[in-house]
Amino acid sequence: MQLNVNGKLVETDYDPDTPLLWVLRDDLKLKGAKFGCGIGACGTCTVHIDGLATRSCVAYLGDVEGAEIVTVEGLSEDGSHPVQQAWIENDVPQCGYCQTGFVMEVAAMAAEDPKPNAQEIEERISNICRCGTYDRIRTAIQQVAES
Amino acid sequence: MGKHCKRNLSLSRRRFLQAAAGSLLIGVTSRGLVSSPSAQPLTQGFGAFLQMSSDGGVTVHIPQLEMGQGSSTGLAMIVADELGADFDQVKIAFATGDETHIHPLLYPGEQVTGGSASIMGFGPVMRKAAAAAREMLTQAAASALSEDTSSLEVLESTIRSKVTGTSVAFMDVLAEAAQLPVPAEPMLLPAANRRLVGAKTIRKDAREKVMGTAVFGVDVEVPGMVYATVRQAPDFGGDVEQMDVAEASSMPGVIGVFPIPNGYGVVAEQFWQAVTALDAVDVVWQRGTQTFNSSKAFVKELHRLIDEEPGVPVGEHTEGQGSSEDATYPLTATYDVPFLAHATMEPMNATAHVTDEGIEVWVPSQTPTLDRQLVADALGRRPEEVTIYLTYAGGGFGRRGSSEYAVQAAMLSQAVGRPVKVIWTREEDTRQDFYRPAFAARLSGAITPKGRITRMSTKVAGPGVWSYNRPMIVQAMGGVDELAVEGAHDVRYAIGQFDLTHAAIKPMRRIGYWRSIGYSHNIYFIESMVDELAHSVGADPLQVRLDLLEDDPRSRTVLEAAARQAGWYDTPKPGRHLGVGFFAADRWQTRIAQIADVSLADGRIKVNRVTVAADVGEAINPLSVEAQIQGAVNFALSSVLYGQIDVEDGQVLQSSFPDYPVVTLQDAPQIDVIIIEGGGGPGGVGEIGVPPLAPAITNAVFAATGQRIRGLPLAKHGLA
Repeated sequence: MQLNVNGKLVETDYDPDTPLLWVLRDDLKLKGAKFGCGIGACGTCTVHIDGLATRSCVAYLGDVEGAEIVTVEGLSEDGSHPVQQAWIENDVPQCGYCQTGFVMEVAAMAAEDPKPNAQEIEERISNICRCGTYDRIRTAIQQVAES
Repeated sequence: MGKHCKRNLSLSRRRFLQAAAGSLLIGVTSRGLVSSPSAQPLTQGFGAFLQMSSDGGVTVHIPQLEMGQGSSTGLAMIVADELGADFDQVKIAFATGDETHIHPLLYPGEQVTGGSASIMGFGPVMRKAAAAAREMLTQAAASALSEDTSSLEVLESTIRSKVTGTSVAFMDVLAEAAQLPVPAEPMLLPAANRRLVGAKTIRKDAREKVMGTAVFGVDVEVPGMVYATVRQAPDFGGDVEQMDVAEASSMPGVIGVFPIPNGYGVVAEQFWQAVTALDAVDVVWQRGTQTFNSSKAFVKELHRLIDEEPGVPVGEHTEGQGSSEDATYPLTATYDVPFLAHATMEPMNATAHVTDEGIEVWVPSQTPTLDRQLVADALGRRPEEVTIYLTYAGGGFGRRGSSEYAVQAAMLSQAVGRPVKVIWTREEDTRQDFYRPAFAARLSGAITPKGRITRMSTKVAGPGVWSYNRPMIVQAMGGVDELAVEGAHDVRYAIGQFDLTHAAIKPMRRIGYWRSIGYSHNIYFIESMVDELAHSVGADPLQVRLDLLEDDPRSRTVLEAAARQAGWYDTPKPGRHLGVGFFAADRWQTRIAQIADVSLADGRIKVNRVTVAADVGEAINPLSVEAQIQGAVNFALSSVLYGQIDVEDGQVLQSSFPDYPVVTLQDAPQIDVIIIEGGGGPGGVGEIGVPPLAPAITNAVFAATGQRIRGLPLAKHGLA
């Protein structure tokens, strides 16, 4: 099967019932999306599918053929995306495991709604950060919205 | 740059190339390693922590697991400062798990990351190593410049003559320096000369963590690797009684189903194939060895112990020293807390490659030398044959201090003759944790009408984490398990009469280290009782605490600073209620006060803001100190609101985030952190933010509702 990942067509022979996450990580070696829960609850595996932030552990390979898939590796080559920059400048990551998921979620939100208010942000961003970096995440989102 | 420098430059470059020709440099290698084995010829003079290369790069080998706490950046700052290195050129890499990297303060002879002791333990050691390297480089520069070392100064990876102004870069004299004897007692830079330590510094790993290039345990790649996942017996101490693997073995990609301790592992070409086949194994489980089948019954037993068993006295009791005749308001209350899981974002995992030549294990581990021993034991090999490589860890909180996943990876690799990466499912991770134990406590106290606590008697009941994991330590300490009583035996308050007993019990599940361990429950017990006593005479709970801390101005300072910032002394805002929690820990050389600001909405508690003041001695990186405290508050908040592991019929009921909820952005309060540097060097900051949060919140709940919360979490009272 052919997939469109980060603007390139790539081949995979994984079973169509496989969650996209494992195709990205183990077949295509794109490790930025992480495994957290496998049930779409934590958001650490978030990627963009046709521009929408999607939890790739519950998106199945057979359903994403032909879709435009963007992973954190495709967001920027050097960490220069404004959301990544805001994350670095605010020293957001601790363990960092969930942060690529947050970055992808917030990047999708920023593209859709550049000036979200606090309530919209809280309703939309349901990703889990077990290190509890939420204060700095709020500050970083604010910075993205103001830029 | 003078002639000497040029000559030395070319010489050193050539020598470096010669040295590097057969050497393994830090980075991603052909085997996918994330750090290299020990230093190569060029770098041996700089010891176990430091590698410098001819391109000016300085690599600091971090002997601790970087699981989010930021100590890798803090240690790199300490090294760069002492070395005089350009911090932009400094990279971090992870040291292997072996005897050259044992922790100076924790478990003798072991390399352990824990106890909030990365900076406290390794800071002085690595500073000394960097000072030695600086002296060696300076001496090499002195001979290159034909000057005396006393006329040289070191700044930004350059050694400059104060006399002639000529300079050489570190890289120019690297080869010569590496040949010099290592000074045993190098001179440390005066603290005033430190430029990095104390400055707010962005983490070294921030960029790679937002780019997705940081290599966590789950990301390790070894050529020829296959994937595995495991299932362990639902019961504590249970095992496979019989299993039919015919269906699972015939599923696509499945290489085999193999026994592991207390369960089985499925190995497949792809991870998802292994997960899918896990359920296809038809298994009958042998029942376990647990003394209790239900957590409810266990907690009930804790209360029975308190009521009926004498327990063991702990520490020096001070009976008779207080003025008990003042104690006109005796009060007794009983509290309990449940089992808790760690729920790290990155599930437990390890990758192993077992061959006749040796065993390699890549694992995000807090106890790599223990892993090495246990992997060797499981495979009947010698520890020297096992190499443990540390990776980044997606959270730790104490969870990565057990080694079973490393053992599983090694056993499965041996079984299939290929490298194997084992990743636990979230469900396995939740059900097979080693949990923060359930505890109960009964406290009695007395307070004068004027609000002076004169007497407190505490009895805690629960299974000690060392008694279960390291019984020898408990034996050596005369039978007292410090991890069961910490926070209760070292109460800072000057309470005239104080006694403590501990009623021990065997755990009903595996129990382990959970961020702040015994403090996580005992500070809740003590600080709740202090609050109850204060309210019983209408005294200000904050003032009651201050009065008990007359001898410790640093403790008073944190309480007063938090109180001022939180608006404790101001007119209360409508609908907002404040509660305070405090503790001081000698072990971490810290004092910390927290004030929770809560409101009640639709019958549920909303934590709006938490104000923290902490005296941490010295803050190496104030950004990291703030992050650790904010993170600990949110970590604790999850447990206060929701955290509860239940066991019924021997099985853990919770399995993943929907039934073991943790705090998200919606719940997370604003957390203001006031950092106070009271002196005495850096304290431990990774855990101190956890203990005061529970009582700060439940004390605020009392202020809001008049309801005293004597058992956690709030969810069980319908308040979360």
